[in-house]
Amino acid sequence: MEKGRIVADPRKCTGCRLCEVACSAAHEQVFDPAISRIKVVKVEPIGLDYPSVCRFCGKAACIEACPVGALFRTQGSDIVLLKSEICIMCGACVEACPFGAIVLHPRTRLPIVCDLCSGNPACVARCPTEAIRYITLTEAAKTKSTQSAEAASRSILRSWGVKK
Amino acid sequence: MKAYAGRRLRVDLSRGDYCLEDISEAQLKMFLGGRGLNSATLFEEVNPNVNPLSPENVLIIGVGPLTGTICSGSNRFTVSAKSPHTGILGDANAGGFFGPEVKYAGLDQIAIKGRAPKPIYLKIFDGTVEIKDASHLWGKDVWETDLLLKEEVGDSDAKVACIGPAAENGVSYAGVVTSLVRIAARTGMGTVMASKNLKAIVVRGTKPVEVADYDEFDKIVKEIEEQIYSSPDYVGRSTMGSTRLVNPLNQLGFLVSYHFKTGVFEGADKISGETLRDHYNVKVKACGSCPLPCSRFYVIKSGRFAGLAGEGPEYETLGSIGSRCGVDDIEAILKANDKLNRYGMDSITTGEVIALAMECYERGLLTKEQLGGLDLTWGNAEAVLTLIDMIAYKKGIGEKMAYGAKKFGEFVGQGADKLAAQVKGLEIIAGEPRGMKAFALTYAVSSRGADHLRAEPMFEFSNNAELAVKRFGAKEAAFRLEYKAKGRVVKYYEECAALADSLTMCKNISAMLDGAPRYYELEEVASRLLKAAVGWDMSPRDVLQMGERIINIERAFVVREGITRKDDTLPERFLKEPLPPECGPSAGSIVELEPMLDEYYEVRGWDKKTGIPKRSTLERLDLKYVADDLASYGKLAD
Repeated sequence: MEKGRIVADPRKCTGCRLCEVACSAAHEQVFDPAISRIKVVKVEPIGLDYPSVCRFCGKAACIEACPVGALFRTQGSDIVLLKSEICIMCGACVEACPFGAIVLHPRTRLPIVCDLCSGNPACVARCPTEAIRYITLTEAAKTKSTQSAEAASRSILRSWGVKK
Repeated sequence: MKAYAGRRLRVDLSRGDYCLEDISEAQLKMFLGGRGLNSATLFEEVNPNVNPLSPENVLIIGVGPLTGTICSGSNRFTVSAKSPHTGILGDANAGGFFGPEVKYAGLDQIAIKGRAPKPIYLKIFDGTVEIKDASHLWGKDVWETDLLLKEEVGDSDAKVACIGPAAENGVSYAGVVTSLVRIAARTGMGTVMASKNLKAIVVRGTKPVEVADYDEFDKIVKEIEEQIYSSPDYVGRSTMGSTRLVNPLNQLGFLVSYHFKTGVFEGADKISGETLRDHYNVKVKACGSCPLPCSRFYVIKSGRFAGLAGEGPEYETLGSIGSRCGVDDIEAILKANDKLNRYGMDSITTGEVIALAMECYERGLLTKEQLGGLDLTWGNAEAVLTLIDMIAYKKGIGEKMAYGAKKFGEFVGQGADKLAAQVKGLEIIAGEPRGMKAFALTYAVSSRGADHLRAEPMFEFSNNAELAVKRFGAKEAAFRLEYKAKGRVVKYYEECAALADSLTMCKNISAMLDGAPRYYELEEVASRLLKAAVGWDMSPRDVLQMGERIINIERAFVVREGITRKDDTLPERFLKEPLPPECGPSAGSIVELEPMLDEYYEVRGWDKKTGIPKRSTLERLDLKYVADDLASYGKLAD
């Protein structure tokens, strides 16, 4: 079955970064954006707030880049796990991730990556505007395809006299 | 002691050195943090002989126990110093993301004295401090400075608090700006920063903030979030923020218009929150950890300002640059807002100075020649934009307007000084005091001069007579045009505001806590939050007393600077000139201040004749040393 993931809509993101402190709180019961698995990329002059998080790649660059095999997945799971006892804290995974979704923990230096909080992501639960949702890509695509179909059919709907 | 970093950074820019010191738990229990701790530090370290623009003045940046946590709206910071604009207590606060970064860098307070020999900026990364050359940044506006510094330190997550050209040029009401648009604007804190040759403070931190009882803290914060989301105010506040106030205030007849000549503006809807929402805003924005996105990002898509984009404006800019100057051109107001952010200037004071000039022009007290050919007819938006440039760079008449309404009124003379809408040198907000008596009293007594955020006594809008009797002893407390019990209302709300500013919590959030919006009992939730966050056992009464202590030490500071009852007043217009007939429900109103003042001093335990705190009051609040200090200056009544 297709797994859920965190899907972001930057149009709705207010840039408040509640997701970041919620993530740090869920994992270590402290407030510290530096250890958040989700990161709101902010480009202030143009008003951009873009929640960035692990995309659970089918072909995971981070796992492939790890020189000692410390990153792995279990059968049937999309989540990237860490064997901390063999990790050499080299940061190859950080460099390899095309989305910048892995960082090294500022104190332990171990890589930290989204684990979806065992199926109830703390960031999603705290988002004030539903800018991040925990859904499957198929669901996300359906929302988009419906929106785009309606947008593309505006003139037809008008000619029918249908209002939305 | 959790939640706090427990550390103060002291910087001496004359000597070019710094040190880190512990802040004692005893002091934090007295003054909490943020504004309260800053005011206490200021009382101890800046005496009446200190010139605000001298190296001896201390610029203090403070955060509170909640800063950096997940608690809603708790990420503000306060900047304090003796004010070059008013000569008394100066402070201003702002949201955004700078406050929490200070905490993550391991600090509760930064106290900066001295003057660097040349322009510098402070780089504070996780408790390591560097004093860096800023010669290449001097003269750059706030946006350029912020972006260049992030590039220079090589970390886009670094947070910058900086000054713009207005501060550098000595405009007395320049602020400290973070996140490009969040400005600690009032009382000239940016001007003090410029006097120290300090262009910016760049902070980056990765230290965690821990709380004493995580589960309990999380539970309280979730309750707070629930109250915010379920508030009837939520939709309005989270789509329009403070801009939602323009139309309703106009309908009540106290939208400041044409420099307080009336409370009704025919162009109100053109500059309203609804107009911005429907035609300019592209999305809502929020400060750190805030579930209430009261800020907005706008884009102007066509016309003479096509391409202009940014965050804001707030109601105060709409009311001060807009209706107060008779300007109904919303795009010009957005342009003005952008200029004020980039120059780093207080929009309330700027709007008041320009509106005052417009009234003087109408009365023939200022001529076109004096204005260098500018036509200051009400509503001339182009002239307003030009004047903002002239003030920031002190060109022509702008030089005379660069020190605020009081001094500009004195320059114009011929009675113009009486028209200046200011108290103790600080300009009145875009809230007409004649239509709301507790607010009027707040403006008169506030420790930083005319100000609403020192109390925001919204209870007088509640019309809840029963609750008024229970809480303030008289039904009149609940009605905005009544006087009785307003001294009690203001005392209580001043203490809540001091708590909010010291926790630090945004008043847009604190005002939404408890079942009935805006009648908050902040001390209740603050007591629970402090127990869970810090581990302190303090009753709501103890917590509220912290607020009272903060008000009293601030009063002692301004008394030491020479303030007495005679300064707790309002400009003559509000005391004598009734609001005109078109002001509907507020028509005919003036402010009868003296009876409210008598009641206020009485409940405060301050001497009625002088407005000076009594020794017994100060000692009851564990402020014996403050009483002794005032006595040594001959400023204590008994």
